[in-house]
Amino acid sequence: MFYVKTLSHEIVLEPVHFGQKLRATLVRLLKEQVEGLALANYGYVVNVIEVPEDQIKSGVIEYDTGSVIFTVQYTALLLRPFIHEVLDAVVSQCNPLGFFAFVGPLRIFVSKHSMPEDMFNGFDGEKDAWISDDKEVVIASGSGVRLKIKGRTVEQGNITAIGTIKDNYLGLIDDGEAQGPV
Amino acid sequence: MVEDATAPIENVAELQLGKEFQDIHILSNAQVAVILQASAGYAVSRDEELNDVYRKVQRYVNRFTSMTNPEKEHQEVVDELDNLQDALSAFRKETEDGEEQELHPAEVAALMNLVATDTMVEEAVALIPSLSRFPEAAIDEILDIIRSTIIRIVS
Repeated sequence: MFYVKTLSHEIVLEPVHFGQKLRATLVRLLKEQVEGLALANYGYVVNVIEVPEDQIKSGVIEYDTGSVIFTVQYTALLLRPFIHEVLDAVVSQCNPLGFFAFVGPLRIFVSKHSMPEDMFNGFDGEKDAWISDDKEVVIASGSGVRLKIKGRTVEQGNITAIGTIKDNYLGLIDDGEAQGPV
Repeated sequence: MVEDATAPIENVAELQLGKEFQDIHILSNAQVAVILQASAGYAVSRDEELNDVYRKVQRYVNRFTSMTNPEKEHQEVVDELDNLQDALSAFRKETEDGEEQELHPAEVAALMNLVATDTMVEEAVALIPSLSRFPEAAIDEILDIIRSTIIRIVS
């Protein structure tokens, strides 16, 4: 789910940046370094909303390099999967083990064991889709699905969640045709 | 799963978010869409490129928000959403033992994201299990508030 939280980040500023535009440079560097980053516990930093002026305290000079370390506090918009929350996601890829869906930058994998019984054997290699026994439900790339988060891992700067569509009221929402390419 | 075994079990279905998330402000997809739109305008005016994660989230929230109407005045939609959030956050119900129950911010966000005009109490409780602590009539009331806002926005 999306949430707003105040975080802090250390920025190392070389002396060449000192001068009138110090603050603006700090804010710009902060955005460059932090936006899009996946923080292990807090999730993806989607956007830096605000860097309050009075939160940029004096920097500390690093004697070895001559650079200055600023600890900057900022409010950020974050995206993090919470266990047992229900989310809508867009399917990106199907394979014989399950399918991948995305919530923005967050990747979620739904294994075939987390699909309803009537979809367990429903992988169609030719159409690259998961199809239910009665052919009513077709989950293919671009479809919207409602899933529940069961777990999450963080690796190499990316967050991957594990999801399920086995419970009631979960599963296919739309076939994505009205939406165009994702 | 890389979870610290000694940390308290996180389970949003029971409204356990974890100790670091007690002071956060949770947003619904619709509100995120509003923030990103404002931020995008700001970045474009300074000729900055929007990063990849940002664009993905923008595509996502624009696709999955039931509470939008491109033909309506933007500010009108924003106001309706704010009113809805206030109404849901201020929702109070007295339980049998006289205590007041209110909706947790996580529930408010989930409700705004998942509920559509045809959502019934059973579905709402299946999707947001922590709602089961409210009596059915109260949940119906909550769904009604959301339904009427969606209808107002979409019509």
